[in-house]
Amino acid sequence: MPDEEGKTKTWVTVATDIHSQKTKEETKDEFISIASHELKTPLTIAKAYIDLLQMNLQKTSKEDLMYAQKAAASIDRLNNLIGELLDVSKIQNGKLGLNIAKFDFNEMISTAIEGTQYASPNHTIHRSGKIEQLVRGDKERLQQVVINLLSNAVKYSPKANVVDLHMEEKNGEVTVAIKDNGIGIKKENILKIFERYYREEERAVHFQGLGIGLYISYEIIQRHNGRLWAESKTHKGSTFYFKVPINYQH
Amino acid sequence: MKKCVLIFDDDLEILMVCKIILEQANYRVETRVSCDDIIKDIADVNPSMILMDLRIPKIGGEEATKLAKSKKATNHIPVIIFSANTEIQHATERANADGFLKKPFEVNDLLDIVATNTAEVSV
Repeated sequence: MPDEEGKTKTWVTVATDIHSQKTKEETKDEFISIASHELKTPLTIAKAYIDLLQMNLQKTSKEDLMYAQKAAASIDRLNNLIGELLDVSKIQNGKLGLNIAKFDFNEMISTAIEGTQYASPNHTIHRSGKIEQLVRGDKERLQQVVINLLSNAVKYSPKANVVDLHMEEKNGEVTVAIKDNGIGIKKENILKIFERYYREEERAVHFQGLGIGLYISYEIIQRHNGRLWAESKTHKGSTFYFKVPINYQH
Repeated sequence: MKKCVLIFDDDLEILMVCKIILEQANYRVETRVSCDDIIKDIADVNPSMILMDLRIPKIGGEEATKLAKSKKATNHIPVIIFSANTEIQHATERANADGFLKKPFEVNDLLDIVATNTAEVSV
């Protein structure tokens, strides 16, 4: 504060000790890292032995091979669940990082469709549209979003057998629409489905899940400066859209 | 002579299963549960490549890799970071390693990455 002559008379300093806050952050980071290591190590061992078992059984017993394949599928499911829980933890701590690079969007979509189709052979995924330019973003994270939306489309349309994926580029943005003919979502719940752990009551009774896949997808798209939204009619089906810039700038 | 893969991991079961997989594929496998003596270990076993966990006593896989990559006698040996850590890609870049393999892995992916990284090495 100045005196009558304008010289500094009093100096006011506000200091906040962020040491304990930083320590807490570091503890959380450490927890994510340890949890990831401790949960995934036994999973790695189980998966490797089951893979070996499958290789050996291919030559001998088809029935035993089927058991081993089912065990392998469960291990993959568990691995995905652990991955999702760790993602939630990262989002909560603002630690969800992106690995940004240019990539072929069409190829990424093909891989996502292939993976979903392999796990859900009863549904056919129809694809339309093409992205001519390379897209700048986190390929793996965007693929995670597409797989999540496709898996949901399949999961929540048990009586239908077709899912449509359309993509297009316009005004420097890529839009992807994934449409199913399934059970749909009630109008009043359409925004809540992107919340963490939210599950529609009817869905929770009949379908498995933690209610975090859409929450993670929403965050990934937001981190890309994009938008994820849904349109739906009960018993008619849902369409999930996401839009991301072709050339993501941090 | 068989090509040698040196694996650094502090989990004995991981070391065991990798040894089984790679020995079936006709590699010689050497294992270590600590990475502090990486330069001496490389001199002792003369590996064609290294699989390196990140969370391993005492200095950690990232530092051990940096150490191997900083020495003229060892920097030509491919090091593949081998971890469940979600930051594996960044750790690989920071350590100047030659690639990474996420845990849990597919057996075929392990065999592919080892075949690729031992292909150029004469033994």
